[in-house]
Amino acid sequence: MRDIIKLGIFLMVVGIISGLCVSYISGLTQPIIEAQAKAAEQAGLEEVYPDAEQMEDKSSEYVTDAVDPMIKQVNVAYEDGEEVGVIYTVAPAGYDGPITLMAGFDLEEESITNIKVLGHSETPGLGDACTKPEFVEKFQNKMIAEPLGVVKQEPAGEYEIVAITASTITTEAVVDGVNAAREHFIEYFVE
Amino acid sequence: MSLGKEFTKGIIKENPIFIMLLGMCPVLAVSSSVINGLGMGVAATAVLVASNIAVSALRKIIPDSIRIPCFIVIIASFVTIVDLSVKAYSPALSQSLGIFIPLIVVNCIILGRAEAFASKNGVLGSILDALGMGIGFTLSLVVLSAVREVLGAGEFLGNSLFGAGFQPALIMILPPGAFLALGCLLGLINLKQQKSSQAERS
Repeated sequence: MRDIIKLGIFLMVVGIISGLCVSYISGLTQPIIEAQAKAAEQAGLEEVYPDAEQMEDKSSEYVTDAVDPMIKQVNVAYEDGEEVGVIYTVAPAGYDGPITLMAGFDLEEESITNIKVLGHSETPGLGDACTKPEFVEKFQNKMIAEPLGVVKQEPAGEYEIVAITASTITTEAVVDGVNAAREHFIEYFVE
Repeated sequence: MSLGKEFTKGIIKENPIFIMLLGMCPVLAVSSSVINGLGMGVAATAVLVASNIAVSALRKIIPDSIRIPCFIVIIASFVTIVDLSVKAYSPALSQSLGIFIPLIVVNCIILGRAEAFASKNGVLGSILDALGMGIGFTLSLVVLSAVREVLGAGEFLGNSLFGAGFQPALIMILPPGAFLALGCLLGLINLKQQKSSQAERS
């Protein structure tokens, strides 16, 4: 009996010391990790909508129960105090888990400015091509009059995106996400 | 055994991957690109060195009957520390290694060295043992992931090797490719060992 208590206390001491070490390191790294996440988000916003003077997170106002659940975040870009564009963060379901991406829309042109894939778990060598510039470029400056579609081969029409070879599901997921953002954009901002 | 041997045995003679076949789960999973393999190897080496030092320093205090839970607590703490540091200072690496850093906790190389070596030997020997094992683990991971990346993506460290006309064997960077590449490398190593032991006998 005494042995068990002794061993238990020893294990507890080991646990307490380890816990203290971990919490000390966690305290040191937490602010850096948060700053990193913030910087990555800011860089993403600027990449997707380059000419904004100011960005504001309006998610609490626009992401309600009524909107598509794919839409996670809505950032509005301002210039001289006027709304000029909207950057959406959407998370459509890809081939292997959600694909998180940002899509920027311009109010004046009524077009897509750019998209950026933030995180995904698509197949390396196939679906992960959705982060490459060759794919992202296809979305730039597309008009929003009609929803985007997916075709498997060239030629693609004005509102069509050529799928990544052997990764139609990934392509469709990205297009779905952009379309969900487009619908929200038309409903809340254009009209 | 001399100190130099403690260091070198992990690299070739008792190589954790190719000879002892330890820690196969992270090896198969992260070896799809050289940079991932290298990152995993360095992270595991850091944990291995730290836990070997702690275990060997405490080996006379830790009661024998509860040594395994103590080792696990020590290892888990170091893994959490490495995980947090990688997240803070190299977010790109942390994104690609994802779940595998927390999984170092159950990597049998770490617990294996704590139990088989550090709990019986001094601090200096344990550091050398951990460094040797860690380097052996990292080198094998790099070799394995280089084979997979070159064959499966036509790239090395992200640089294209063969130009646009090359059609890579995609299967090599998918999960089955890990088994294929590992099996072939193990076969080659066994063949070489057989030959050298035959040469010794004759």
